[in-house]
Amino acid sequence: MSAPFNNSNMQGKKTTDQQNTGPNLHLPKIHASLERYWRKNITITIGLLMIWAAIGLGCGVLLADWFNQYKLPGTGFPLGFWFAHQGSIIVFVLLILAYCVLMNRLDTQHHNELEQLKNKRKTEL
Amino acid sequence: MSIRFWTFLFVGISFCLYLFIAWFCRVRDTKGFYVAGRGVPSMANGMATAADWMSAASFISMAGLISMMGYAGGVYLMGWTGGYVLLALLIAPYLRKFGHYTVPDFIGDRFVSNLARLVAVLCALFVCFTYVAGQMRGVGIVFSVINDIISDVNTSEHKG
Repeated sequence: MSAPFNNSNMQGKKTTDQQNTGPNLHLPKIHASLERYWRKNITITIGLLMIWAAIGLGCGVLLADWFNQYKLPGTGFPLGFWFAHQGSIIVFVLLILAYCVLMNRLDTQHHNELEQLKNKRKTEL
Repeated sequence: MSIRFWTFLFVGISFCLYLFIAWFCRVRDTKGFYVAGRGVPSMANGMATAADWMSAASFISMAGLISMMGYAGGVYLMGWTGGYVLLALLIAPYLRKFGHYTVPDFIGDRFVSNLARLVAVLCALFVCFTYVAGQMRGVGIVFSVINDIISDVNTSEHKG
């Protein structure tokens, strides 16, 4: 899927520049940095969505009968039933938490990278 | 002081408090209406969302549905929370970056199509209507139960 930063509606993160016109896409290094950021974003999203599908749809619905043979250790609940009614919800909340943490880290990393590239450009000009 | 008087007193005070808060925090622009001027810290925002979920629709309806439907009630749990994961991963960051406040706005501009915006608006209307209808029924049930308790206590006081 194409990166959405080609759309002029996308504002970059708040920078200290006077004119916040967004990154200059004509510089190939900045373009490459944005591409890498978008690829990592997509990777994180797809990875978390695969875990979402595996636990939610897989464990809760498709493989529920097979899981029901086993009991949740400590209590007497069948595992498939537990996955559908409680385990999947816990995993979903953890997925959202993981997404926030990973994306915050990726965003600050990317922001620092862009700042470095812009400062290099200013010193070169 | 009868039970009915105390019930109406406390319910009346709560309502007056909510009305006062609504008047006190009135806003003037779109940004204030939709996102409170982006001035609410994320912890408080999360707590407000959690309180929103602990409303009549979840406490009464979903609990009752699951106890009635049994195993098959898990579809509501997984659908609701799983949908929240989709919202957080696929819509929320891009919605914020676009600067829009509602999903139909965002979809209409991201895909540059008024038809998409119309479809999103219709979906939002369906969802809201179903949700609000369920909420109002829950509210009605709660208040009718309170009145039943009041009339039961009064009749038992007269009998006993």
